[in-house]
Amino acid sequence: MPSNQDAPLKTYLDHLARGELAYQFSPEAGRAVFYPRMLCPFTGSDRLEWRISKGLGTVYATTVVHPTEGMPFNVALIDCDEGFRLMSRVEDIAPEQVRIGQRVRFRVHQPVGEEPPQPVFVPVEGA
Amino acid sequence: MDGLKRGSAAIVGVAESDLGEVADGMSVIDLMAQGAKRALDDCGLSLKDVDGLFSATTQSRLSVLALAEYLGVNPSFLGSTIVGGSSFEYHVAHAMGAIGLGLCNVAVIAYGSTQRSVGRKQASVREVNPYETPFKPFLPASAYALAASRHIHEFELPSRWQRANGRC
Repeated sequence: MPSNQDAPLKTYLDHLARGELAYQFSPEAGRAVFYPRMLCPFTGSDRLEWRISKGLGTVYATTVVHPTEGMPFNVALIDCDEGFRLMSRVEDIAPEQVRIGQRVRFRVHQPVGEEPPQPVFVPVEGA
Repeated sequence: MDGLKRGSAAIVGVAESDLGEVADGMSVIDLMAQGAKRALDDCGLSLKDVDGLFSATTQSRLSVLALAEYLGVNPSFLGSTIVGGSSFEYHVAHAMGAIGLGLCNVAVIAYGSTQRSVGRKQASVREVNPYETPFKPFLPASAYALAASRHIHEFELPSRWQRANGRC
């Protein structure tokens, strides 16, 4: 019996805990795959390589959530330069100041308590 | 494959359950049953004619079985496909296919919800997506907002809308 494979989520979070934004690459499809999975959605192949993003991307879509309690916050979709898109938020500027097309850089947000780290983004200076 | 034939089945009865703030203690199955009875009345059929049954809701785990038991029917064909708001279009297509194959003759498609009374949190189980839930999108509104922001960006919606929303 082959040993059980690691869950894609675990590998992803292990990288994040080391400050890395990991994604999968499908050699057969020649393109990035995100969110992490067991099979490539473009070819059906189970041969997926883990790669580390350089952490640079562009805002694809943006919105602001106004919670019943607490401050409004940003929710955005980010297109990373390696060709994958993820949900995240842009920090360090007012949530309504986030613009589609804006260049952003990844950083890790570590929530207090037991929650796993999160990939968030900040504006690239001078971009 | 012949596919579904246009006109091979017909929607003959349509009705609504009580709407808005319904009576205290009303369940989703109560409302489905009420709507089903009214739809059967609408076309002059009765429960004894029903041999196909479909339902979808987030508030009952095995809703079509609960509904069949509640109505006292024993359908030869049933379905509980859940794909959100379009569940019932699927049910119509599945009913049409089943009627075409002779698997049933009269299908009831039912929906009920008490979300207005019990609130969002009680009406559906919280579902965690580890890649999205941490960013706390207010769903489904935030999903539509993200799509809208992109649409406005790509198709340059009229400036009137943008002015109204402080975009210029």
